[in-house]
Amino acid sequence: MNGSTSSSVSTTPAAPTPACIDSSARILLLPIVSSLVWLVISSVLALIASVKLHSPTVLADSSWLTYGHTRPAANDAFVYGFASQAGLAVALWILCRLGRNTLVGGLPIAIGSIFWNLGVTFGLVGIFTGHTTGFDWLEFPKAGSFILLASYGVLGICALLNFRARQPGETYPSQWYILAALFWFPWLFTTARMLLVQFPVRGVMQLAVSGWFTNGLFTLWLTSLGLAVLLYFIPKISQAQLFSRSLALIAFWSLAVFGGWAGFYRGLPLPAWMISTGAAASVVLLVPMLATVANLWLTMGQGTPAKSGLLGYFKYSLIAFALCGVFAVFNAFIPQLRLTLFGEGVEQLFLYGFVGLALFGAIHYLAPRLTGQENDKFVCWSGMASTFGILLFAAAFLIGGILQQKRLIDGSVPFLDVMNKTKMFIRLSTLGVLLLVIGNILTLARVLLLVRACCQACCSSCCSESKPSVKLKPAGAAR
Amino acid sequence: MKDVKSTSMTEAEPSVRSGATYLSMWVLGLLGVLTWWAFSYVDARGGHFNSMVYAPYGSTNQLASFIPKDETGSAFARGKMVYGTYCGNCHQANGMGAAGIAPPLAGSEWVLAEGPNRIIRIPYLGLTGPIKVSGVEYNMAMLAIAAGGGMTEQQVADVLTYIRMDWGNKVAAPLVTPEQVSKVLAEIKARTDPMTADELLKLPALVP
Amino acid sequence: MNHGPLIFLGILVTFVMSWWGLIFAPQMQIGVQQNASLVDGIYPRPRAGLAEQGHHVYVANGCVQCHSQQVRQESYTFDVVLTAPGTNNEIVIRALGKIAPGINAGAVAAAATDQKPQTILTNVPQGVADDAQARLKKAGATAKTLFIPLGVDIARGWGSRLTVAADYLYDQPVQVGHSRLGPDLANYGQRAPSTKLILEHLYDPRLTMDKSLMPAHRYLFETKPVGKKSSPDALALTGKFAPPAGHEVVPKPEALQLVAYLQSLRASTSLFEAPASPAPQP
Repeated sequence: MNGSTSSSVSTTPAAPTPACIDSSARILLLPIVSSLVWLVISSVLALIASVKLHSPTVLADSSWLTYGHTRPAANDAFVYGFASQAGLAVALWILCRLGRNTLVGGLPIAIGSIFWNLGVTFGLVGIFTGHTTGFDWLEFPKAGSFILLASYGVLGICALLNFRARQPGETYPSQWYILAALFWFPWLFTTARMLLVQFPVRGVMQLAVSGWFTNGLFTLWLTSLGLAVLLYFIPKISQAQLFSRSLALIAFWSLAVFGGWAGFYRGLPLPAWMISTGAAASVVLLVPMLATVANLWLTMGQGTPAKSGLLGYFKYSLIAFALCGVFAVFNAFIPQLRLTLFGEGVEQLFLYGFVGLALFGAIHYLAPRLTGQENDKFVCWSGMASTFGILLFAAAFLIGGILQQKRLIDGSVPFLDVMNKTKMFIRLSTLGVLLLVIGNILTLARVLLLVRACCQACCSSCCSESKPSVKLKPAGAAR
Repeated sequence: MKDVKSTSMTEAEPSVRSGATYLSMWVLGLLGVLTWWAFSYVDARGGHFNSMVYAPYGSTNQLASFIPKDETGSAFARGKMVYGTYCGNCHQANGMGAAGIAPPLAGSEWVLAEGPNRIIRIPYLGLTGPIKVSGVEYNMAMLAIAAGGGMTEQQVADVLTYIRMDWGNKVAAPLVTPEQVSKVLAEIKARTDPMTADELLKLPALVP
Repeated sequence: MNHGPLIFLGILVTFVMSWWGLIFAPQMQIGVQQNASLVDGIYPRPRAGLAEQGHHVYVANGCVQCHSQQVRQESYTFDVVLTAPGTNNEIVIRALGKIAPGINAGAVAAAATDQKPQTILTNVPQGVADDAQARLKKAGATAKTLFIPLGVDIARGWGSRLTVAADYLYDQPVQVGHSRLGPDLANYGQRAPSTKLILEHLYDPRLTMDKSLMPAHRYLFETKPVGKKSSPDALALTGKFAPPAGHEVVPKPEALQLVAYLQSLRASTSLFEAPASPAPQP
């Protein structure tokens, strides 16, 4: 054993084994598979949107596929359909594993997941038919959001029950982040929907609420899910202890205190104090970022990683997280940068590079264990496609954005020239999105194959005891 | 790149090294420095939390100093407040007056006359008897609301400027100055009776 | 950190702080802001019916994904213009000579009227401008100090001053935007071309601007067979944009509403928090 025994955990004699926990959590495959489907849909929509940016005459006759519809649809499908759902599923699994309890509430989770998908479907159809609310990351019309919030209620309560069912002992940082995230999301979402859609506040106050919500969604909800995953998997796969508990504590509480305040950038039509507060907060948020990165980097340095290609996912996810923190400061201070491709690039780097890669790694780790099958197909290829895809996309948009900003600032360059000179970067980004689509499809394919093998194993073992299960590795206990 | 299961790695859950490290002290120090910087930044650039201050401006005092010393504009603003205090009750906030209470000022040919000579006298002496305003005859009594120090000359000048500019009223030179008001006051020093419409019509519109 | 309720309490307190600071406090400030009362009426004025419908078309089509509606301003400066030369020409010319030695004082004094103010000083600090104005007043002339906002967006012609909360009071939802893939539209109404040109731009931006990256919004229009006479609304399209023979392209109501909305977009009125002087008439 490489010194990775847990400290000060008093397990009761009846603590279930990891294999037992995994088979009890099999229902989590439902949200995971549906989130991967949404992932593929989102990346296809993103591809269409990306193509339309540099070739605007393509598919111009369809009102559904105009850029103004496909871009927000791709964004929302990713955040709500994939990231939030997969994040919740992985979070539930992490809670069970860390708490050493079998999954509580399998049926409510399944129902919640089904209705979550229904909500996202309604929401996306609403966007395409023009019933969008008009606010970034909140475009779902009332029907879709209400269903989404209700199903979140079910899933969130199940997660809380799972946390409560844990074995007594010290909590691990991932659990703090998951607990925090479970409370942050409904507050953010409900406040934003109330103040923007149900009982709208007046004028530019909507911008304040929308900015606060968007920042909360990224810096609090998605960051927490991503960090919970990284803090769990990096020490596990590196076979080392997390470097420092106090660093983790500082990171968590500084994120909690300052995380909600960032999100406003120079130039917005808001009073100067709100802009300054947002800009200053984004600088202070470098501290939790640095603390977490240092913590995990030193953990990786100390360990001897298992032979697993999965560490790559989490390592690059961590790098993306660090970069996003730094770029957020650029966004807040450098004039007009947030409004160029750079701003979009940072958003997508955060979503795909940090949250996406972390969740992909987690899903690739989880899926064989939940299904009890083994299948190495596509792990390598999907990882490379996703990583290179986001690298290409982010690099194209970030560099293109910086050049766009320089030309925007220079009043002598006509606007048409500013945009035409960035066309090459947009074309490169389309290539990046194409790679992401391929990567996503491969990930989905792998998980579906695992699920299929699991179903076949189940069917063949219950249908007939006499027939040997052919060509399948036995649904054995994960060690 | 095999999956984890087939190696001999244990599936133990991750754990944390307890105990503080020097690194944590450094990070706490950095947090302190950045928080202090953040507060001083907001202090310097935050416009003192005033909702009227937008970058690049620094304070409402600075904004006030930019207001052009345009007499007509500021007289309008002051006059509007005076109107609300003294005249609005009868002539109404929209200048339309009310039947049996006061004739309208909006569109009134008395207000829109070339100069304020006639209308300066009304608040100081009052008005009695029939008067035709926009083709409608009114016969009520207006009190000498400004007499005996009831309103300062500046206030009378401002409110007359205001009524000549709001509610769609447009004249070439709407500004009424306190000097004009003083000149008229000197003329009517001896009189205490209210004016009548006929008497007013005999006077020139412009202040001599 | 091992008790769920304690963690929850900590999270609750920290989160409520940001809610209080960024939602509650601003609501008390800008959320209750009313229209500004200016010399020529209230600002902003509510949008006319067609423009208000156009706002919904703008939102429904996701125009905000490419277009922002926020004008930025980096700094400001002052100009001094002469509006009336007064009666004592000699003294005025002498004063002008002291204030602005480089200009042709005689010609400036002769030409200055209220409708045609003559620029005396440009790009000077406030103190200098006030001093010049005082001197000219003493000489019997009338001069005005103009407040000139400066910024990249303003230099590009996208607006005449920064946009502030008052400009968005009637917008629900506010479409301030997060991306400048297309030009800023906050003050588009002031530079908007004719209705016909805007419609052609919406139909296919390559009609009016060959290199534009804006998607074509052909679905806002209807291609239908020509009746006895062509519709008055029909777009005059030629070349590769022309509809098939015997057909004409007519804007749908959404297109007309959108155009009305675009033409109503203005943010140039001078306000207390965003001063701007009207430019001197040419």
